[in-house]
Amino acid sequence: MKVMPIRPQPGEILFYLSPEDIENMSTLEALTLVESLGFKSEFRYRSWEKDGQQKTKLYILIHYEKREFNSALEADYLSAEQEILATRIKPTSAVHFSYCLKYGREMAETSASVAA
Amino acid sequence: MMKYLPIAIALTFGLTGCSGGLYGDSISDQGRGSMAPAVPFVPHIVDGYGNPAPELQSTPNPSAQTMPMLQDPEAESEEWSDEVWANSQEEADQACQAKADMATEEGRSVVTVLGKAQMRVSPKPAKGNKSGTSGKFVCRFRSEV
Repeated sequence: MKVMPIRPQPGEILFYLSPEDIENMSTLEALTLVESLGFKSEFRYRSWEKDGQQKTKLYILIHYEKREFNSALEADYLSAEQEILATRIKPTSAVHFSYCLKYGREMAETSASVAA
Repeated sequence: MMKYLPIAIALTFGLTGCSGGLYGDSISDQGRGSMAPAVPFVPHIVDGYGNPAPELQSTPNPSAQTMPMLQDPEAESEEWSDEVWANSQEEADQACQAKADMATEEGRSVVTVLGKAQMRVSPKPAKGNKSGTSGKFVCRFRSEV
């Protein structure tokens, strides 16, 4: 099993779940949900030491992508899938979407007008 | 309209590209004036959240203290974004800080939140029998490489 990085490297996009944090469904149900959205899931882990004890946490990587660092994420890129997972999985802090792109995510016209 | 988009994005994110963060620019000069002059060089020591380490502000001999995890001003830093769902700006900022705390613990290097979370999709409050939906916010983080 591969390690889940703490942060995306330049150009990387990581979409993943932390199944231990999910309170309203089992890991199997979460896997079924992400596969119903067309994702192929892959288990990853992080291991670290705290107060002399070895800790390990499991993650489910559902999307990985590497782009040019000097780019931006489209405003609606995987937004629908994010919204479905954030609606179905509780707490939403178990759903992670990280990226390291120079220009971040583009602002959507609609969300900009809503915010205004 | 579209031709101004790159400018708007650049203004939104400022200098916060993923890499190439300025060394030590999160460092605070606060507390310098309260340090004893006998301490020749204790600049820029902050706790894990960008605040001056409290012990050092009132203690003339910082080397005698048990240090928390400190940022190294010489260390190379890297920045990235993470998206969270929250019902308010305050809740989003707390979610960003919780992610930074978790990344600090799991990665064993200090991760700090850069500024406030930026709203991308506004929360929709509950109406009638329908429950509200959370808004989407972008957190910015910096960590030592």
